[in-house]
Amino acid sequence: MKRRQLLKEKQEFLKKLYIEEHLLPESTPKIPGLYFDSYYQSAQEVGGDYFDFIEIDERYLGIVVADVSGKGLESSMLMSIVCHALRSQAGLSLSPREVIDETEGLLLPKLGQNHFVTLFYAILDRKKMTLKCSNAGHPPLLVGNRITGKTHWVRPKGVALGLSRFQRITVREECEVSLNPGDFLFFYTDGVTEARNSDDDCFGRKRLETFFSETSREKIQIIHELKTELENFAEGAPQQDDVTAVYLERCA
Amino acid sequence: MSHFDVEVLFSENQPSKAVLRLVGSLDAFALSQIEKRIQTLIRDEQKIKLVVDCGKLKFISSPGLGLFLGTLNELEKRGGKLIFSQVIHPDVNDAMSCLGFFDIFQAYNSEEEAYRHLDD
Repeated sequence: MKRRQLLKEKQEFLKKLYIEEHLLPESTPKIPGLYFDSYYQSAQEVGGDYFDFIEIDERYLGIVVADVSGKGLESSMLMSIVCHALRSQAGLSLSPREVIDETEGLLLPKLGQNHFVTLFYAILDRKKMTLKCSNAGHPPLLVGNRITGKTHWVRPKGVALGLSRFQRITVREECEVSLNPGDFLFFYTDGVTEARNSDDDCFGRKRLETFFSETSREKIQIIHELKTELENFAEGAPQQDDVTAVYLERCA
Repeated sequence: MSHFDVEVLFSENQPSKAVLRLVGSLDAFALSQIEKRIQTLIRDEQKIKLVVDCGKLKFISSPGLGLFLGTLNELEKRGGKLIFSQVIHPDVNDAMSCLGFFDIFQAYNSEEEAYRHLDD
């Protein structure tokens, strides 16, 4: 039992090290007029989250948040494949839907039958200050304005990577979001909304929306305060899944 | 510790059909419990047709969802089937619809209705 526990701890350590060293970006993008922040917390049991900023060229920036189902090192390896497949496709098309579809094509032969990957991919146009988004089974994007406190969800339809193997007819959607002064976008994985307390209740999207409708916070405090909010909600219950959050705001 | 239970029901003279009633939270800790039950069912009856009733399911984790994808894949290869019924809890329904499960799996409002569609 002791040996198994040590092996598990070693695997988790390697997973964390691998993701942090090889997959996660070293820093957030520095773009005049835009503020980026991010947070990543690996879980002990399950998960395989990753996020990335892909410099397509001087005008376009790819933003991806993804979640691989599965456990430990296995999910980290799959995530590595997704990360590199997506990077290889991102420079070839400015259609996020096409990039996701092509990534799935590269991933399918490597994906075990119990595995799937959810992924939200957006391409920021620095000139027009818009984002073109597409989705593969990932939770919706939260969009809002820091001045008015109004928020809404952006949910382009699209099945998770891996589900195309069932050969049903499904088409992923694409949509465009404008970034006006004060607008923000919040990308996340379900580790945020499915954080659970000792009563087994989930944090949920409603609480996330309420958190972001508060307008008095400084932007540099937002991610930190969200982390505190999640910890307070969990009341010490163990974190079951990786938590990933990426925040982008157009400065007012 | 969250609670999870699975009840397996067969009707008389229909060994190739079964209903799995899921109760509670299918989290990472509960996964092996249902995984073993499903493996046994497929081992005993290769072309089994399953209704997975989610009427009392209040949470499903990613590995839980993955298990049903894998099971569907296995059953379709063998000529079996997997249909959901009563995906009513908002968190469960949301997790499944978010992934695109309802583009892949059939789902019905009641266990009886789902059972009737096992022979479609």
